[in-house]
Amino acid sequence: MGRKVAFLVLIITALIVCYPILFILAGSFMGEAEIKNYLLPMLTDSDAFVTWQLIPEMPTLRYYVELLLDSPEFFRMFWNSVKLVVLILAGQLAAGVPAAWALAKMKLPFPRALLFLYIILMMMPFQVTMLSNYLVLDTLKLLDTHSAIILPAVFSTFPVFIMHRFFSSVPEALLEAARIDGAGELLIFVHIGIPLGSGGIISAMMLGFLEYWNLIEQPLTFLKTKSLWPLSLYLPNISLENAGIAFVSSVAAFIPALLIFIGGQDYLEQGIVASALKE
Amino acid sequence: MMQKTVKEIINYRRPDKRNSMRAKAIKALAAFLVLMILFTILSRVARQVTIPAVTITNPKKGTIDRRIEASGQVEGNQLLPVTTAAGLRVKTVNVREGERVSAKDVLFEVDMEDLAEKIQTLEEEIEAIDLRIDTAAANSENAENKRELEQQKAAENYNRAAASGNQTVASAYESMIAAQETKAAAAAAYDEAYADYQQKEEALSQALEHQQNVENMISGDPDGDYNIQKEEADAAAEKTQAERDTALQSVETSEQTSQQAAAEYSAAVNEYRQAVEANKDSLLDKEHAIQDADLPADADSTREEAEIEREGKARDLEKLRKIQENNGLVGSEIDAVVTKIGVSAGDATPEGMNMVLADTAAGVTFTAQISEDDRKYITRDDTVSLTDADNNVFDDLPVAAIQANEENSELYDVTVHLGGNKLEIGDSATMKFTKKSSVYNTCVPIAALHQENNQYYVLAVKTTDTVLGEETTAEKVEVTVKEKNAAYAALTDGALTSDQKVITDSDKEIEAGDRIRVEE
Repeated sequence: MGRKVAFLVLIITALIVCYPILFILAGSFMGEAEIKNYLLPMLTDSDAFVTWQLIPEMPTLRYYVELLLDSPEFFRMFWNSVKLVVLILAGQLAAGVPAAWALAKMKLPFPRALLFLYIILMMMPFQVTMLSNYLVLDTLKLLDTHSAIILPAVFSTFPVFIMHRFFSSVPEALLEAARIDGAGELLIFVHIGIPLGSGGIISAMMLGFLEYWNLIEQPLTFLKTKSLWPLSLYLPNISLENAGIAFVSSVAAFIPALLIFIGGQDYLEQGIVASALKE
Repeated sequence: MMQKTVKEIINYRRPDKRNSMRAKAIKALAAFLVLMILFTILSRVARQVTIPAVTITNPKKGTIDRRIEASGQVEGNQLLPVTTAAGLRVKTVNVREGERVSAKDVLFEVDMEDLAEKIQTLEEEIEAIDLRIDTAAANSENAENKRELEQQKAAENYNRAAASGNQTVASAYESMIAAQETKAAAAAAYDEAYADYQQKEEALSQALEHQQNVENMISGDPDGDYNIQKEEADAAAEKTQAERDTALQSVETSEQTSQQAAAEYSAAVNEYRQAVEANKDSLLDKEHAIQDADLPADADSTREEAEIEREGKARDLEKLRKIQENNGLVGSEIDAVVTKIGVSAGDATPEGMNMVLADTAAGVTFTAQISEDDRKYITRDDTVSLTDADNNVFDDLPVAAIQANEENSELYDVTVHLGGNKLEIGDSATMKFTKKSSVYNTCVPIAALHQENNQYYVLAVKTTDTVLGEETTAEKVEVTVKEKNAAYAALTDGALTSDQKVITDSDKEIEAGDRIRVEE
């Protein structure tokens, strides 16, 4: 009985949590008239509330067709997002993984102070570092290029922090044994560190993907040329008149994130757990 | 052992129950990306196909030449009407409009029988009019005689009245003179009697005074004897008294006589005046009678009218006889071109013109109609060129006149005199005229100009930074047209810059804000 009640509560909670996604899915299949009818209170500044139905009265794929066949700007932004995310994640793999390994397993001076600095930097919201970022990027003539987004993100502290947690859990004895067997530090990193820390790497990449797929502040601040904008800026550019397109593009933006989530759900959980562990 | 452990560690695979799920998700992600690539290409192709391709141009400096073209006809300078008597039946019409005729060429022929009938009718009518004229003449003579008689009578009456009147007046005058004399005599008698009376009166007063003196002497001297003196004095007084009374009586009598004579005189004067007045009145009446008789007889134009009518008929008859002499043929008197025909075979000739001929010797004129708008650009003495049907071009012909068209107030007739043998009456030709304007800084092709609610605008190319890079869109720029012709429009400066491009043509309909693809 108790289980059933708990199950019911969970189902209701899940429905509430999933409601925005259901809302968007329903909206993406509605026609223009239907959407306008529901969203009328928003358009007319009246005091009435917006109503919604989860099953469209007259389902249509019109906006899917319009988005997929008649909105090249959507694809431009989509591929911009893909490019940004792929390059950032690749950069993080190249820079963050060795950094995390070094921080966890190499004998560095003041390792705790260094880690503390990392955590401090990680805690800082973008708004705090925005101005210094801007000045540096301006000096490097990187403003209004994708590098302005990619480079700061590549050297982000968050994935290093996550991966550091995983690399720290690799037994020291194992590494010692490898050294005794004559393995060099690089060999140990490649053959022991990476495989054993792969969970951490993947979860850091997952979290990174979700973060960079949804970037808003950085592109808005550093990119002036619209053709460089990522998909996350597509929606703010759509007027309420084209709400149907907004729903469909939301669905399209949601799909890769969903697939990544399904593919790496457990890594994601590990990553979240790792980032939540107290020092 | 250690090696084995290391190998296990290296080949370590996390036991994962969701392996298949993950693989599916990764496959789905790959498929999703492939789909996205596909749709990216498709949407770009679709965009490329749907975006209107436009041709553009820069506003240029230039002139707005006004080309005026109008077709018109060549007409004769001098038009002569051909007229005959009205109402004749036309037998044949021998010419057509536009036909060239020489002097003495037959234009049309009238029916001889009908003509003979018409002549006879006219002759009879003239005879009847002659009769009316004779009657009217006789009536007029009678009236004149009658008037003369009246005048004579009136004169006689006057003379007679004057004679009798004068006699009456003369006799009254004589009576008046006689009365006057009588009156004067009576007056003299009276004066005389009165003088006598005054003497007697004086004598009486002297006698009375003497009598008084005597009495005074008696009373002053009562004792004296004055009887004799007294008796004498009394006797003298009595005698003078009696004489005086007689004289008084005589005065009274003569006074009465004088008064009577005066009354008779004034009566005579009255009678004389009345006689004069009566004579005057009588003569005035008779004078009026003479004046009445002298008045001219009532105006009567019967005869004149009849004579005028006769003249007209005689003229008509003359014309008809002339036609009869010509065997019913009506010919041209000059070398000309027939421009209008008002007769047709079988119908009667109309009142007024039967045909209109344009005199070939008088030269020709080209006339074309232009619109009110074009009128502003062409003035008198501007030179135009004419192109005839055979594409012969005649240049530098001055415009002789521009006048409002009589039939259509929105059109104007442009007249060009043609000398020489350039064009003939009836030829069609096209007039061409080009008016150069001043230089305008901003000229765009007329195809670039659009109008909405009486406001002109052009669609300029606007480059905007969009997600797809720099995109060109059509931007509406409202402009003011200074002048335009069929090809170009001059715009007021300011609205467009010379490096701003305007859209002149598009393969699809475009509106402001539409994306466009510029074709170089």
